[in-house]
Amino acid sequence: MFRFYWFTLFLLTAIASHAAYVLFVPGRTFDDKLVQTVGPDSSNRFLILSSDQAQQLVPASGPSDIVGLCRFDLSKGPVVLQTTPPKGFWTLSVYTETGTQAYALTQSQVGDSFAVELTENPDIIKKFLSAVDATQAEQEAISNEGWRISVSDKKGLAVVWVPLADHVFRTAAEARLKTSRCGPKSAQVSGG
Amino acid sequence: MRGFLHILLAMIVGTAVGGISAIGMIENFGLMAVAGNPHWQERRAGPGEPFSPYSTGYFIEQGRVPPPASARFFVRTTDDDGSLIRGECVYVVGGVPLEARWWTMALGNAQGRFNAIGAADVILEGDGSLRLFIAPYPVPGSRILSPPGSTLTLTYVVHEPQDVDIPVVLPTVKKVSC
Repeated sequence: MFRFYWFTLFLLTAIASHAAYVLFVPGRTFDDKLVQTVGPDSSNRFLILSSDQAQQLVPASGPSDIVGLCRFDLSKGPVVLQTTPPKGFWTLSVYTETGTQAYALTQSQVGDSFAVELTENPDIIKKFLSAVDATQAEQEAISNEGWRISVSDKKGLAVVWVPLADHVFRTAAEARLKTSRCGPKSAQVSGG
Repeated sequence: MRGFLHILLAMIVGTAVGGISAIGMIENFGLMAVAGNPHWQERRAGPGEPFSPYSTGYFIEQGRVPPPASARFFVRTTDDDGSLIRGECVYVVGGVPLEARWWTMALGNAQGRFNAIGAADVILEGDGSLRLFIAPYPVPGSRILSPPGSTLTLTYVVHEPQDVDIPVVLPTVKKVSC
């Protein structure tokens, strides 16, 4: 009987520590490394990474690739990302704080310039209220212009990755991407 | 007192086993064999993939974002003879690149340092095939510089591949000299 008790205790501790590690350690490590790479005051701003920073962040990215990112924080409301990537192939990937990919877009799905509104997934009470309050639902539908991405966490990361066909295009392509903006929807959005 | 020690021991061992198993599963759970390509494995980290916390955990624990959902991420650590890919040897990567909007190939060592080459940087042969050298020193033709380190991982990322449902034929890696 006592052996069974110890084994149960061992098993429960193992499951708890396994789950805690998988769910929290990689996300925490990622956030720390990201802050080390781009700085602590990088929230709700659009940044263009240096070549070294880009190679640290995006697996298998080349030295001439351009990577822009926005560390969004939805605690004060929706965040809008407006970007004008250079012509050619590019991807936009939106990740939650834990690294789960919430959305991905490529240049074949949108035009040259686009805006994405990032919002937090409404909790069950908000969903219920919007279902019973037709006015609120209509207002949300009216404001739902362009791309709208709901993410499960308050914080996350939007990454624009642009591989270049030739190094000589880098300056022009970077200048074009630098016009991107990321910031709270309620305020004037700030750029990098 | 003895009972308390047993409880403490069960909890310490349980914590260690849980943590070690988590590290091992994060490292290995997203890896899938690629049919017809025995040396290649595919690392799947898309949102709909099984065991997603493990497969995404592999990337984010290294401070990297998982590849875009539209990309396929292949890795190998051995050449066609089954020997580990080593930084001091010269290899030639051959075959036809997958039909895709873009691809990159990168070499990484245990410290996570990568040297990469993209589709636009590689000059293909007349028949459209690939002849890309992995070498620690300059060689004629397209080359990825071998980063320092004893063993290397070759990564092949294919963005928006065409014909996703047919079996893929991935590049070969032959040792030239060592």
